[in-house]
Amino acid sequence: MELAEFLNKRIKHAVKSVFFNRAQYFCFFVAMFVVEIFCGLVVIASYNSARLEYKYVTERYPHHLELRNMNEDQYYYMENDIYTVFANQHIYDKLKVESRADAVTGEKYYTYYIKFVGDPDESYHTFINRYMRELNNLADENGGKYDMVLTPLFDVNDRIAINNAFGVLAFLLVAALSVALIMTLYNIRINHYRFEYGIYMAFGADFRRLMSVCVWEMLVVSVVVYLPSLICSWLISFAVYKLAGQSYEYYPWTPIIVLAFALVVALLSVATPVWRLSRRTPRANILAEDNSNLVASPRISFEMLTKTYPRGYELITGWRFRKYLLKLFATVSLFAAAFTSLIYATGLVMGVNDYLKNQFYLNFYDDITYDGGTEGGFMHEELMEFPGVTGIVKAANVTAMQMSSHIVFSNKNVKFGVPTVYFSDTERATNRASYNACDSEVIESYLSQYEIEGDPYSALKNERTVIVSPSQWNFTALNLKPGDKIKVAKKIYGPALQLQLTGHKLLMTQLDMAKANVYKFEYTEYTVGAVVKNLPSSYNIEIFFSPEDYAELTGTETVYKSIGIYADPNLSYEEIDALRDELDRWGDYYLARVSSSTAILDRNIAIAKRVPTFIIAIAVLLLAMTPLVWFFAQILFMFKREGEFTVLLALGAIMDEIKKQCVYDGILAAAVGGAVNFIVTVSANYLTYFLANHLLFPFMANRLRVLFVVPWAAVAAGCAISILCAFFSCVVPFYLFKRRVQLISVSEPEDI
Amino acid sequence: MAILEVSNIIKQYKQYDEIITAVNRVSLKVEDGEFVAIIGPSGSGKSTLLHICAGLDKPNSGSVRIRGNEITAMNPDELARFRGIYVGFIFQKHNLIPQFTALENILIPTLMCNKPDFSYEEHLRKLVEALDIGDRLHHLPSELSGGQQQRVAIARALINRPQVLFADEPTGNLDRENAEEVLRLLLHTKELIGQTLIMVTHDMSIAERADKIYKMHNGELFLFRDEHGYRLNSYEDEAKKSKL
Repeated sequence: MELAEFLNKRIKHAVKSVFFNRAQYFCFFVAMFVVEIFCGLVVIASYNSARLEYKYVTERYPHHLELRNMNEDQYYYMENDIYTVFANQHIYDKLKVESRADAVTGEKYYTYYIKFVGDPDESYHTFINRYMRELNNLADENGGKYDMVLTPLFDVNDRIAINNAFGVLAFLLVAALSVALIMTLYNIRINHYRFEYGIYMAFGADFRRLMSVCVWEMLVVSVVVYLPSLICSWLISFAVYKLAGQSYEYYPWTPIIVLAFALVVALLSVATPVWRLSRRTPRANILAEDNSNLVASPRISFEMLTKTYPRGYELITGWRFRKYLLKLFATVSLFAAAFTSLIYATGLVMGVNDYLKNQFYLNFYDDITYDGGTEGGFMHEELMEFPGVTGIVKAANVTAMQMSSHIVFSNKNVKFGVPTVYFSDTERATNRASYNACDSEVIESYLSQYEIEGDPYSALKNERTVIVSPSQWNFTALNLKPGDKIKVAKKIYGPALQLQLTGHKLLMTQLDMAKANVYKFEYTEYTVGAVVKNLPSSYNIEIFFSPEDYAELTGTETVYKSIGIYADPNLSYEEIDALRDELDRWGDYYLARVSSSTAILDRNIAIAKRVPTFIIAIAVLLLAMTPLVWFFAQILFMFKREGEFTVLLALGAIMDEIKKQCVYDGILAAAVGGAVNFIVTVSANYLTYFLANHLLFPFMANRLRVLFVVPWAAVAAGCAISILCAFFSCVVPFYLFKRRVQLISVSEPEDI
Repeated sequence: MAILEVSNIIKQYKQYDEIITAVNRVSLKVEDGEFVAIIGPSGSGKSTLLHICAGLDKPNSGSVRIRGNEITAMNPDELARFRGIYVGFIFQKHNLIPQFTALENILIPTLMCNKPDFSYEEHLRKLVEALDIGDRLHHLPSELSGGQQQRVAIARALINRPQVLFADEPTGNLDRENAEEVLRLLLHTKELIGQTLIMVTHDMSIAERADKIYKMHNGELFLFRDEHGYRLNSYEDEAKKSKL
């Protein structure tokens, strides 16, 4: 009964407060509506992402394990599995068996598709313990073609966990944005309506009680918009998936999560403003009814301008209220900045989705090597003729550290703060480098994806010329330009160091030993022929040599024992399987083992999730909040200034003069607001680029590097909205004031 | 027994580069159940002193004790709770919350503070009867006259039965008739509850009804008329004798 009475009191109080001030709370209704849509979208998108991940993986791979290319002995061993047949220790289901004949010998090879029973991890370990030894024993010489491949179904739970982790991250990000939005509005409201809270404080309201008042009010707002926001989030997410031809499921827990989210956002958003309010004395709050809390002293302003107060009333409002206006500009700019950053992030996500990955790998065994190259290698021609093959990438490389080598460059080429080792007064050195063999095929199929300064073919045409990617962890480490010189050290003699040294400590030790003639290095000078600007990088600076230079430096012939094959991402799974069969047959001739990756599956899953569309939806909703913040703040602000305008009118000012002042304010606000917006949005974009490019991408499995690009259309949209809002939020309240004055004149003539 | 003890209160404001001392080394003792009036010209610091005594504002230095509790040493939350239980305040401008009816405005203190073992229903009935606002309870402040608004403000200040009631020019915005009525009500409820009343007023005829009158001048407080009716002739003379 007491609880019912308590709830009745609080809810009644909050409902009255909200609906009496409904014009003032209008923007909270809209903001809460949007915030709840944010939450709904993220929850539904996360759920459907995980669901689609599972659906795509299970459709493509209904099995956990493939035992590929088993010979007849291995096949019959598995067929007569004593554990299953005799002991009834059943840990897997055989989903299907495929057989094929070797294209050269005609021998039959079998592929087993296995689905584990029970816990896949446990069954897999049991499987390894039971069968692996015998399967290996029964394999052909050097393992033959036999291969055991775990499919994505095996770690589908990990994939879903990663998916959920991203979902939680997105949820937290959206929560942060939502709290920022509601907190901004609440700050504006509290700043203008401290009086009411001052009264509550005078009659005994402490922080807890004030929080209770504010949170109950926000709860009323949250509950009113709850159903419409749920419907909207459902409609948007439904449209996003259905328009892309994807299946869609509504997450049944969404309503509860959205409600809980709204409550938490309401709580967090009001906590800081109310805390600050409660630390002030009730008197300070009660007296802050006018705009005195927003005004920067006009006297000080005029002293700074060496003018006498008041000289001309026009154009000074913006200056008088600069504290308030700057706060407002900064706040709304942050929303525009979040919008452009999200648009930029959309581009990054799409870049990650579209990033080319090898669908197949060919590993040559015995003495065969890939003869490829565009200089007439027949393997290249043959492979490229298979339907669906779009490119071939090959790599032969060794790190400087592996061969006790290092590179030397001029002091002036070192970027500030990049760690290098002292070599001489004018030169520095590093062993954080990787040496790659490079021919025209590498340039065409690999390096040409990136931005290159200079002529990459000069490395092939000219002697002692290299292509350099002078970056570490996606940061440019060396300021190298075409025409610069670097020296590459080759160890002539010296002991293998037994010390557990790596990196620059190892290099310093080697250089010290070289001074003592324990080590000897031979230095060859190379000219930088071209610089790759945006090659993804981790520890090492990548240097590409012509095959001859590479062979001379490393002392080994340039051989390619493994190559990667790009496939058309639009291939169906049947086409991919057919291509795999073709490659298997090709591998039979050239003693190459084929393995495949999940590149196309991963890409299809990424596209199916529609993450960029959801980010854009959230970004647009966020941008739509900018006018709300502008007009809410400005209408409250101008409402408070109406007293001042009334006094001006009473002193003989005409309405047009006040209008002129508002228009000037609008022009000033638009100019400053637009400029602040531009600076903040571009800075925020750079920050997003920096975080993604340097702190996120280098650590991802498929490294990616992007160049900084300003999404001008998004920045322009943000600035345009800010400029328009700044202007009209100064002018519209004036017309509201004018209308009110006219209404009073018409309805209460006796008072005038 | 002194219910309010104020010692050496200083309150200064910074206005541009100038320091303005609104309350200058003021000390004051008010006994339980007393009616004390503070008079003085505008800008002399009366309201500031009253706000500090009620715990609505903080002094720069000095201390305020109510019922032996030093409120100047309390943190904002403790102070708020203390105010809710022991202190009532009537503002000069009524300061009613526009969205709430008269009744809801009166009940705000009950909602804001949990006074233990306190049931306000019977007290509310008596207050409403005494203040004669029974027929206006469900009206919004904008639908009440100035006098009615002030009565609602008085009821709000008294609903929690505070031991000390501070009133900042409660009759300042009222005509003579209404002012007399409000004073009568305040004294009536003072007797009803047995509380201490400290009132700032411009109106000498109202101040004359107090047990003691203090006068503020340039931020300093002087006893103007004691409980025996002794009247001072000038601040300067009395400053030597009665500045506390």
